[in-house]
Amino acid sequence: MDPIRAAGVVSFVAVSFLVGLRLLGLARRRGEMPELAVGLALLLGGGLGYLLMFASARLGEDPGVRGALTSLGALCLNLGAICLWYFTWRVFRPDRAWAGILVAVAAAAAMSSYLHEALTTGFAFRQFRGFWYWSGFGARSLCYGWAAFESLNYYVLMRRRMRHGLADPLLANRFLLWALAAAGAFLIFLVIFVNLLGASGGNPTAGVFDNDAALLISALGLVASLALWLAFFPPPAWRRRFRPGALASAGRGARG
Amino acid sequence: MAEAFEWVAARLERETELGRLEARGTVRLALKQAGLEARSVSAWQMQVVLRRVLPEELRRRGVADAGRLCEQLAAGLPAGEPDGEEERPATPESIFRRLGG
Repeated sequence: MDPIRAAGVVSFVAVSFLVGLRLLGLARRRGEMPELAVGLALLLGGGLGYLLMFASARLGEDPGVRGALTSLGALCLNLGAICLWYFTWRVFRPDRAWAGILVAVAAAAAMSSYLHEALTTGFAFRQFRGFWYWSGFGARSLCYGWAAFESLNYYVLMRRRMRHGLADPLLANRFLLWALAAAGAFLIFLVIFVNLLGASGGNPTAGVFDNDAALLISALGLVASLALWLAFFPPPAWRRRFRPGALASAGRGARG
Repeated sequence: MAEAFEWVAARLERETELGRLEARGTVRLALKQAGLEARSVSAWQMQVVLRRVLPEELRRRGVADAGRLCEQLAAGLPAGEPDGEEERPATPESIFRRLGG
């Protein structure tokens, strides 16, 4: 993979890793579940999981090492996805029974897919087909789609509140950025999905490492990592954009 | 439902000719316009809705002197802290505020 194609994936992994660590630090200090869940989701799903899968594809010449790296990477991706399902449920739909059932089904799909692969191929080689693979793929991808939908929905509410001075604009923007980051990750899965459908059955490089899809995935990874960074590490210049004075002058500029 | 919602809906029912369902529905509509929900609205948020959104909704339903009535309700509503979310169940807003550090 050339540097341009790798840039987005590398930045997404790095930012997920850093933001995940920071949120886990917050969780340790405050003892709150949402911080723990989203911190683990980013660290395991976006950070460690992809890092290990990348390492297994590029560095694991020995089948045993490759299998071990893939197994560990897949475990991280599945656990990260379960944490994200849990986070979205507890933050946006804590009192909805259907959301709890959805999370339980997704968690069961992710872990049964992982166990099936562990017990059949032992991760010695990947099979990008079959019920068990696709159920796990669905659980790992749809968690980002749901997170994006709920966060975007809440951003719309926050925009209405802002009109009446009932919401902090920087906080409202955080919902938008989180939605963008999750949507970027979801679209990466979508590209991989389309790519896998078109790939020949035994192609071991199909998906994220296919050069045809890598450029698009890289661009989406860049967008997602930038949104993630601005959402949880907003630099002072970004924060200043949302101060009341800055918003008022921007509004005057737009009217003038 | 949040206390502030129940309080305002009950007073509207008593002070106007709106029935129970209509009073509650009108408050819900005003809350929705402001991006709020009946189950989680705080007293402080309700005061803003009473002053900025609800008067127009009541006028549309033929309630006389809606502005004065809403101002009375806002003044009489048991006061809440502008950022007093610590005592209420966690909301997406309060959680995302914490996540920003």
